Amino acid sequence: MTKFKRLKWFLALGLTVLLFFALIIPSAGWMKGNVTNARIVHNSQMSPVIFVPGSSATQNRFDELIDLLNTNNRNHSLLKITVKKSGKLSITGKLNRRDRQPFIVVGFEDNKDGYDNIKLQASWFDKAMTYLVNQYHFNNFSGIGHSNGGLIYTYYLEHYFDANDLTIKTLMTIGTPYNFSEKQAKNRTQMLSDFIAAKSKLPKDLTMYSVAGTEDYNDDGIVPVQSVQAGKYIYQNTVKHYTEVTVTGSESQHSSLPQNRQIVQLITQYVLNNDQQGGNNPNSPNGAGGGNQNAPSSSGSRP
Amino acid sequence: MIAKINHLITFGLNLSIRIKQIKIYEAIRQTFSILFPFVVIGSIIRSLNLAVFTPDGFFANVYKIPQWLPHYNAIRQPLSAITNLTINIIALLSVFFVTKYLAQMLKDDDHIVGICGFLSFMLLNYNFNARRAALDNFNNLVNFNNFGFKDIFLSILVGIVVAYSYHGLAKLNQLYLKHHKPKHAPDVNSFTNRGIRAIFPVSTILLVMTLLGFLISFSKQQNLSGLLYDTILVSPNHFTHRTVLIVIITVLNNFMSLLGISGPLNFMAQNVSNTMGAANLNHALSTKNLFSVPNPVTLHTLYDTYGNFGGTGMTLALIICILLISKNTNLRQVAKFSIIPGLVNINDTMLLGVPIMFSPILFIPYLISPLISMFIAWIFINFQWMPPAVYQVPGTTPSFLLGYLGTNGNIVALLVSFLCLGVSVMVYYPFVVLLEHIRQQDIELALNQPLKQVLTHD
Repeated sequence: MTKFKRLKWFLALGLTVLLFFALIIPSAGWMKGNVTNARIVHNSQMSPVIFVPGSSATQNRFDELIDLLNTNNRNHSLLKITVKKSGKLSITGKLNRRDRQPFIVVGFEDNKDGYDNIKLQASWFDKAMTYLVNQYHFNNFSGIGHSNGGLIYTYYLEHYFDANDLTIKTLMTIGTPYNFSEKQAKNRTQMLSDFIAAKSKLPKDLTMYSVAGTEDYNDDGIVPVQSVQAGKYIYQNTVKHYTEVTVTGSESQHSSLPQNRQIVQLITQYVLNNDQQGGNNPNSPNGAGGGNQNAPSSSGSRP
Repeated sequence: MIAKINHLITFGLNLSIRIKQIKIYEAIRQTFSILFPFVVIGSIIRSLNLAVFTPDGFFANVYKIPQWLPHYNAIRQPLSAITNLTINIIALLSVFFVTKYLAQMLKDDDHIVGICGFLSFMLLNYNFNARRAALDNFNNLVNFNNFGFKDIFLSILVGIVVAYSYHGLAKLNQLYLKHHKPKHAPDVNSFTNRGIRAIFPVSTILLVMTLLGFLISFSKQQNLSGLLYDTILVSPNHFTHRTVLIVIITVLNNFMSLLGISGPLNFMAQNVSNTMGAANLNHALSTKNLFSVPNPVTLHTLYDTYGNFGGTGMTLALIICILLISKNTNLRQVAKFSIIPGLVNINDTMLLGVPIMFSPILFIPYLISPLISMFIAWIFINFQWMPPAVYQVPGTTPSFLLGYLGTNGNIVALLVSFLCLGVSVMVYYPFVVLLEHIRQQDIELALNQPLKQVLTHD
């Protein structure tokens, strides 16, 4: 009888120890993963600028612009992604992990014009964004979209973007035809109506700049200025700030807009946060500890 | 020494006999023993629900259960039905039995008084504000949020009030009837007479309770439970930092739970989402050094992590203590059924089963052991032998892992957890021995007075 009792005790003890290890080993591993993740997110100070080109343009569309932005010893590292029709990503370049504001260009294999393709491109863009966030653990970014790139951004923000996971600080669209080639704001295309209908899904804390170019009083050679200005029906009073800028003079033809000096300056001033890139700029000694918010007004002193 | 211990045991036994003569106490004990099976099933299901079938539960997370278990979300609903209809209406059942047993001891018609108590408690939580509802519309008639474990105190209070008022009213009624009874008295215990005699006290009580419930419905909280909880409202956030205040709120919280009121500290909501916790977490994430966090001593690092093993009052230690030393089969059964809920820090079964609630003996270790355990942790944290736990873990994490996981795998924290558990078992030890003696005494008393026992239960 005592033997049986002792056996029972040993069994209970053994079971308890077994249970204890079955508890502690997986939970310790789980906790480690949790903390590592939390640490990465917490310490990620990367806030990339993500460029999206327009129709018929490739991932190399912004090369000239990026060269201009990288003058004066500013070395933003550059990553280029082309999303294939299958959704696969082809990646060139490399991000410097210590670069606080790297540049990322997301182009598409199928870069044809048209509303249907813009929807497709937005879904491909979302795939690229998911990859980027998982790979580089940033929780905020700024966006620049040229031409249809701005439409892709708008569709992406309305249908894929989740403000709980990610913050888009600033979006600048350059020569984006929100109403395609319509000159009359009254004649709304299907796309514009859809954008307006879904505008409540846009992130509320976004600062938005819409830049239009004009060669004459009507258009930039391709996109009517009224179509660019139709963006106000989507963004105005929906996001935090909506600013329209019109650029004229030399290099204000639709395709040259990305390398227009005025626009380069607008980007440096409004999208690239000067405070944040002290690490890249030897001229500002205390830049490294700078603020984390884009502050256009504070950087407005530049010529 | 032994003489002294014997003396203490005799004292405890006498105390227990004397307390058992208090009618209210006896009624509460009887009620608890009847509610126990419902609390057992309800608690086990509730622990399963919280720890396994809630996506942020401990087991759900650690074993990635939502990812491989088919119909994960569907399983939760039928399970919560059981919890809802046991644990979450326990006060409604308890008010009936408290009133019934009290009435029995006062020699009133126990079933009628029981129903009276039951309806009174419903009336106090009646939704008078649903004015638009049709008279025969039963939706939202009664606020079912206020019949849970947290309202046991109120249910007992209402039960006592109803039972004694009925007793008084019935006496008054009898006095009246005596004067107006026809001389040739009919059979007193006849079938209808039983009901007729109850008309006056029942209707008076129900009318008064309706009026009371109606008046309460004008308050901001709109029901009795809300009124109670808003008057005793203590925000734990005021107490998070200073050591003395942490001790005060711990004692307060545990004392309230002894009375059947759920205190300000909720095990599910770990106290990390305040400024101090956020500052700690920030520091830990950016420097990886837990020893230098800005607020090493907070409610979370002490109470949540080391003072709440198996639920309020370190009940896990009591479970272990009973399983190790007790020879009383009943106590052992209660402890065994409490293992699963105790693992995820739910101690309802222990509170009602042993019972700890209203116990004149167990309240001492129940209040002391968390303080001793927290004191041990405080020493280790203060002398920097162990980092404070700053990372958030699910509320259903088995308590002995709280320190280890909250520090992201510090072995000293694990050892301290076990030290705390061991010390708490030792704190409970003498009281469990005393409890054994009392149980033994109960059995002997019952054996010695079989006749009386039968009579009172008639």
